[in-house]
Amino acid sequence: MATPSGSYTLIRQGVSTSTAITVNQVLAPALAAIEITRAEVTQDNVTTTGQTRIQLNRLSTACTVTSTTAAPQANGMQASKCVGGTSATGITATVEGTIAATPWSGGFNVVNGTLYLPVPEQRLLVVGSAAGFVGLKFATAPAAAQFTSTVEWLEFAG
Amino acid sequence: MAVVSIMSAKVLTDDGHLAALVDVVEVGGGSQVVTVDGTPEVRVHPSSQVFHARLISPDIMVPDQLKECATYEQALEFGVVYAGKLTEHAATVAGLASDLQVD
Repeated sequence: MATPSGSYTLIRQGVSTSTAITVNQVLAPALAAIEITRAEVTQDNVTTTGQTRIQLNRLSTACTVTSTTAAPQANGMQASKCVGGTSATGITATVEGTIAATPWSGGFNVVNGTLYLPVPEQRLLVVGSAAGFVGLKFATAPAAAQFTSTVEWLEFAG
Repeated sequence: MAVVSIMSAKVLTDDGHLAALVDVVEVGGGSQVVTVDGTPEVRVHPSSQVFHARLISPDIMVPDQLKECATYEQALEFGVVYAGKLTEHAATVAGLASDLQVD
């Protein structure tokens, strides 16, 4: 296994969501590759049981998002190559990109939330390019709740 | 008659170091399921293009800068200006490093 140059997290925290949108988008640029190690969706204001569905997508075109800076997971770690941008790494899509593949999708009860935590052999590898997008998306519109969604990845910077 | 569009470029400093990458990025064209009067409807979003000028940071602790431009020429201009700044500051940093030497 190659040695990563760092691990990073992109969090969309406590945002009321009731539409089928991409909530987190990461662009792995040329000069880097990333491995998605974790994705998580929870909410903090609804106690009534209800089902919805989330999917982790490879995108061939970008979503238009709110630019957000990915946070290193340890002090002293180098800056992420997945820098923020409205057509790069960010949260809350207003225009949806084209889905090329959906390597993971699952229904879940909003009271419990859901967690994608693959074993190392099954982590989603994204080779850096101008179209190296990964998006975490509600496949259908969820009942309104204050959702927190997280994507974490290992980075292999060139 | 074929039309050639230049979509990506590398910008190097005077001494050959990579300063910036320019790439075209396709945006949108995806779909979203919305519920209208209780019935799910698929909406297709508009497509567009943007050019990314990625200004490579000389320090790994400082993130690269990403400039999102409407045209290839604008993106290239960011890269060229940035390469000039890198060259200018490299000389200053080299001078500082030698001045800080204590013998």
